[in-house]
Amino acid sequence: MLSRLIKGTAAAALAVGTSILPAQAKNITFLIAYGPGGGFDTVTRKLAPLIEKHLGGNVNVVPKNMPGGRGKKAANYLVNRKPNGRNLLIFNMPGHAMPNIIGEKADYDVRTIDWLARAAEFKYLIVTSARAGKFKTWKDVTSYKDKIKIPMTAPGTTGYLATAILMDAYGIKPKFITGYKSSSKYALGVIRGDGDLTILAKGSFRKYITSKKKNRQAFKDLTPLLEITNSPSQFGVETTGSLGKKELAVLGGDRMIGTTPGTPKAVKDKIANAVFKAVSDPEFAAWGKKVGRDVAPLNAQQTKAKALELFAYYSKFKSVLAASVKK
Amino acid sequence: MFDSLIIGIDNLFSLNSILLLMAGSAVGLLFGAIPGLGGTTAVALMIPLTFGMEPFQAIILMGGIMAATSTGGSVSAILLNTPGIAPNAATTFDGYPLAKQGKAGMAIGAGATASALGGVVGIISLVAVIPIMKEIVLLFTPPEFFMLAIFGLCAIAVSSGDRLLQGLITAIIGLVVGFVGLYDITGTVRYSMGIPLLEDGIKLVPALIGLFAISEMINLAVKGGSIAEDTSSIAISRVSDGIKQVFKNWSTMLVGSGYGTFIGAIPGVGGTVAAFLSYSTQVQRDPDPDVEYGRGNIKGVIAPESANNAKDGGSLIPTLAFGIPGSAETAVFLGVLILHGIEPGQKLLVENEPLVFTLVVALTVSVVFATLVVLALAKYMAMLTMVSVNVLIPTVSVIALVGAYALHTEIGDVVIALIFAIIGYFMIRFNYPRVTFTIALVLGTLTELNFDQTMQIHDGDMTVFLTRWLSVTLLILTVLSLGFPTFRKKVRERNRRREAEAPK
Repeated sequence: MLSRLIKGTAAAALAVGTSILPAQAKNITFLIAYGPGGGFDTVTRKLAPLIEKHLGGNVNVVPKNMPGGRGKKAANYLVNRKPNGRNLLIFNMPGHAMPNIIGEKADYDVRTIDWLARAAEFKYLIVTSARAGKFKTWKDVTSYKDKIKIPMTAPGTTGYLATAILMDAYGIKPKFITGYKSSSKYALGVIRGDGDLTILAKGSFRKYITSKKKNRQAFKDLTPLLEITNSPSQFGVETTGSLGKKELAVLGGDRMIGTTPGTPKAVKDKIANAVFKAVSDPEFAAWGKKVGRDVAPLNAQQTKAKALELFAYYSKFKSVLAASVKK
Repeated sequence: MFDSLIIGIDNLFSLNSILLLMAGSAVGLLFGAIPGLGGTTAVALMIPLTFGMEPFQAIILMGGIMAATSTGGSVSAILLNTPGIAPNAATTFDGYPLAKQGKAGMAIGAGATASALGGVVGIISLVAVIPIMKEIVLLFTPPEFFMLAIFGLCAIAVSSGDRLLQGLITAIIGLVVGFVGLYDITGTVRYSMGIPLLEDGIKLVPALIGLFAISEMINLAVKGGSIAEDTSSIAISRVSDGIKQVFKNWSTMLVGSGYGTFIGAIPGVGGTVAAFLSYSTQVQRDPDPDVEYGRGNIKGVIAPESANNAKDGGSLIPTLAFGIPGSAETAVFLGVLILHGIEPGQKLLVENEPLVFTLVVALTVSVVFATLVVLALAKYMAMLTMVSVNVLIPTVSVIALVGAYALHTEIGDVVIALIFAIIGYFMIRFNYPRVTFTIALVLGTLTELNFDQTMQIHDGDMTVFLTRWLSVTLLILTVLSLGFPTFRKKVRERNRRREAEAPK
């Protein structure tokens, strides 16, 4: 009787074990290179169930925050995993490419990542405070003799680098007021008069200005000075394109999803297909529109080409970027 | 506004909503009480559960969690000398000595009641300042942040008591530890010694877990026995004693709540600073403490607990008004709002006022509910202090280390907790205050960053601190807070001398 009980228990345990193992093995960890609550966190958490949906089967896509080293920690972690497609990460381009460009230590190289898809992109514009700012037009900025104060996140961040490249192109010597934790905080710094102007993603700015009660928002004090685009301005201001600086239109950010380099082609293709369907899903597009994120899907090949193009573009400004980071 | 309040109440009082609120409060209490987890983790973990919910239901669930974590955190601060979350760190200073004296029930009762009342004051303030949110947030610029941090650092002087030299030594070590890692002004990594784990700095929660919880377990292992030195005196009546103490010391609770609301409203400062400031102000303003602070004074529990709960309402001010989170927890909450297509900012207040009031009502009910749960269970929780060290040490050590690991699933954080446990044990052994270390650790980087930003903005002109009214006000408060205890002591000595000299 006892031996039967033991055998039965062992068999049950084995059965349970074998039924659980494959399911566990199918879990995909969707890494988030920054802390909870930010843009990367919300996009990842929105995409995870959509990737699950398009992968089909019994696969769980589990978001996991791994903040550290301005995003480097999660990217290093990703490339040191077994190349089996079970770890994904949304890269912040060009931020993640900076260590590779300026020769900082990093385990990863954005040129060798197995790219799956691009989820979103954003472009910048330069803003000032209508109340506290001393500039009314971009011409006022370029003709200003003293150093222009620009509230910003830490040196080396995407916004900092874009601003440094832009200012360098116009021969403006900026004085960065660094240390703000996020773009909303340095935008608030401009409103308070901590600095003269700053750079903002167009989506963020649009959110601030579309409220019906314009006079009731502190961020309403922000007013655009220059839009970084080669198309006509959406905000009725001068553009880098109209001022003959067409090469600056690349400045912005791309949210690209990648996995561990060396992932077998069949596995990579299957995941890339599901990830591309997820970023192209109408639900994701509708959500992006609702929350002001510019959803811009690209497939695996297009994403790889985009990554290489961005790398080559920013490499041209290596000296500006290296100087910014050293500061 | 009144209509929105009615809709908010109506949203809450359905069976589904009440169940969600209770679930949120329970999760908040649990995550608050387990060192290392905290409200940020709880809110982040619950996000997927809200996918299928209506926005108001998600807000109710998250409101329940946010309101209850500080209350839960006070329990472990009092019983185990381990702040459940960082804002409960100041509660350990007097809460744990009370537990050691067998008055854990009273301390929990006072802590929970102060939490509830502080929370309600914070929420009322949130509602009251909704129309003037913009002015409040814009009031604080780097010079004001710097002076506020200096004001907080002065607590080192008063918290050291008669061990000023030891207090300063540990404060310097705290400052040095706080400077480790990436500095946002320069974008460079400092004092990391090439260790990747240190590149982002020494995280506060694992350090505090080691410094307070595990070091205490090492100390208990050396001493033996149980936490409560007088195990015979723990009784049910102690819980009600704690409640009575809060009403008796109502001004302590009100000042603490004021600090919590005010500091919570300033983005980037948070509940930990609010609790420390409230504690140090209480120490300074108390005309005649019947029991010395740091040795089991109930007012030392009421002050930080009312502040760290009041900050919940306060920190929602910039979150709702500008989409700028006032704390880590509200940063994740902001993510929840965005995920549900709710755009924070005045637009939310204008177009979705009922949702704001749903949150207000959920926070109020949850903070009261969490307190009732803690009060009902306080008697049983207090018994933990009588548990033998043979059971307590392995249990607490495992929970604390798992908490340190769970924060970022980072084994290095466990190592940090263990290193700080050893440092903490030697601080206990050689009578060096851990309070001053913690204050310096929390406020050191805030001070440095805002000083550097001020110098960048004002081109190195130091007089800026004397030309802005709020900065000057904070400077005067700092001088007064430093001078007042000495002045009071002198006056008392003179009165005593006069009494002694007076003819009988």
